[in-house]
Amino acid sequence: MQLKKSSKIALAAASLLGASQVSIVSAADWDHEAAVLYYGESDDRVQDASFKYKGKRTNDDDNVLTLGLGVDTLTGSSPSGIAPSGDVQIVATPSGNGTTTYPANELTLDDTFLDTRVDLSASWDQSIIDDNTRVNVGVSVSKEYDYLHLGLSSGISRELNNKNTTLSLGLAYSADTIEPVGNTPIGLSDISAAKGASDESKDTIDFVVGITQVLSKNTILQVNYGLTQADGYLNDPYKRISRVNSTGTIVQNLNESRPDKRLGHNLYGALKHDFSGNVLSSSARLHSDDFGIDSITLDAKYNIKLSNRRSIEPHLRYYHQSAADFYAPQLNAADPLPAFASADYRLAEFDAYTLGATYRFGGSKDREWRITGELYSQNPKKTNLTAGQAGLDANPGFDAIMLSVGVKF
Amino acid sequence: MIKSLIPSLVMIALLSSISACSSSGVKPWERGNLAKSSMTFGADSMIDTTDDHIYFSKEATSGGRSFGAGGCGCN
Amino acid sequence: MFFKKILTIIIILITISSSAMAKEAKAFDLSAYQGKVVMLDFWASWCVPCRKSFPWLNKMQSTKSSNGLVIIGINVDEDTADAERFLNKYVATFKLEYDPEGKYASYYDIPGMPTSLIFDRNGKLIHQHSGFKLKNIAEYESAINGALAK
Repeated sequence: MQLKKSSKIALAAASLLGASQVSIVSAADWDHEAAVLYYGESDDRVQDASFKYKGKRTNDDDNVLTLGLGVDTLTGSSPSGIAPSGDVQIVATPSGNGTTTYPANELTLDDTFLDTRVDLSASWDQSIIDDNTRVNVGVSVSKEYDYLHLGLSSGISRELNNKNTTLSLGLAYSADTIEPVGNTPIGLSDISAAKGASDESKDTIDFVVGITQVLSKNTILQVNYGLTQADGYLNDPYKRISRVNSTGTIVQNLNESRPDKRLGHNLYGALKHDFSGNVLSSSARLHSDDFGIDSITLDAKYNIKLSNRRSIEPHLRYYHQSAADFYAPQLNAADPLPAFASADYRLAEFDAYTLGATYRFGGSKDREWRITGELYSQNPKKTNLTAGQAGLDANPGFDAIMLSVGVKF
Repeated sequence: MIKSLIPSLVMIALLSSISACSSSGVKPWERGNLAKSSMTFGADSMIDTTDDHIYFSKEATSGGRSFGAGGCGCN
Repeated sequence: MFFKKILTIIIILITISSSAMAKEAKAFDLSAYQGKVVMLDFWASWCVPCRKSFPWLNKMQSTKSSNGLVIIGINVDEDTADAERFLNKYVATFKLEYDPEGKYASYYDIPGMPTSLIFDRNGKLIHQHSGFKLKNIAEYESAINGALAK
């Protein structure tokens, strides 16, 4: 157990100590974690299967190196943003290489959506000045067919009051490059119009400040305030929005357009309380930004100890967001074009509920296993389309299941 | 609605800090329960990161938690 | 309205949990160890550095007992069953005492976990250190040797 991964120097030191029971050697400890996840939405929408690995190496100076790897494969279809219609629609695909046929009276789902994403991350965490102050730096990279992300992060934390209070500060920067299939569409241009550049960039800065406070032997609180500024290409290059006349006929389909800056801030509070071995973890988060999106997230988990190495943790989450100022399920053909418009269902007003549970149990060789099953339901606020589209719903919402199995070893 | 809640949450945070300071905090030998991973923020970072990634892809807002803290407080 | 209820519940929770009962403090009775150097090592099953300290403490006890060193591990787990589980994995060949209510820990106002207190042959506290790092074992050992030399 003690002699996990030792270098030759450590073995030499052990013989110097004359230890017949070779156990006092300085060796780094590795903690590994791996998980597989399946995510699947109703109505043949998005399906994702992923594998994730995280390794943490702690050395005798309490410096921590963390390495992460993730692979995701995405299949299925996603709402295109084009309004549902009583007529069959044949529209050009985003790549410009063909057309898609949307059946009448149905949500227009784009099924040319197959991608694999790989992400890598590394971070270093160590104490500086004294044992109560720690700094961390990290890098992350992720790549999928049409998207590249590069990120840097840093943070500092200080413990006070006999380690009952921790103050933390974090700063992160991301430089993303988007290379849409078929080139970047011009915002609010016709979907068949000529496209623009082959790639676009987006920069994001995140700043978070937080305090973690031990309230009692059984209670701990964390409050964080965060600011995010995004600049650059914030559109979804594959999402469209329709101009519909009063009889419900789609007269034109346009590429969506969002502002090129977004400033948001959020306030997050989390409280954990130990009720004689069962732990309640609760959190609330408020968000507001200049896209006009306000949201509230309430989350609660209750970890019930079944035995020394087994527990079950039910989970409940409630989320509500208001719509973005420029969101509309479709545009009225008679109105002048707005500056920005998007029919992306993710910018609409909706309630979302998650109900799930995680079962944890200990396996051989000190391994800790977990099985998680969750149900997610997104329920948008109903919006009325034109009389000619009576009975059609531009954003009916969806349900999804998430299943994952993980192991710590 | 959101803006009127911020003063209440700030008040909770301040009240909590004040009451904790006045009871002089939890002693180092009393941190057994706080050392449990279920009582440590960020202990289950893989579930948290996966959840955050899914919600980031399906909802318009993200962020909030990002600091691991708590724990046994051992030296 | 909903949020005022949450605020009230949180304040009640905090008040209940923080209601500190006066803690008894008790000095460790060293009268049985007159003439010996006693090292009290405060440890707990949840204390990660303690896993590394046990092999070293075992070695100190076995190599220096002939010089009069007595190591006593004082366990502060509130549930001693947790301590037993730890001891099954990390064997201790030194004496063990249990302080689940933290009476000894309070008396010596232990500043961190783990903490070692070294008492000279007359029972006077002459050295203490908190934390355990393998890179510092030479330092820890010289403190013990210093006490044994007197």
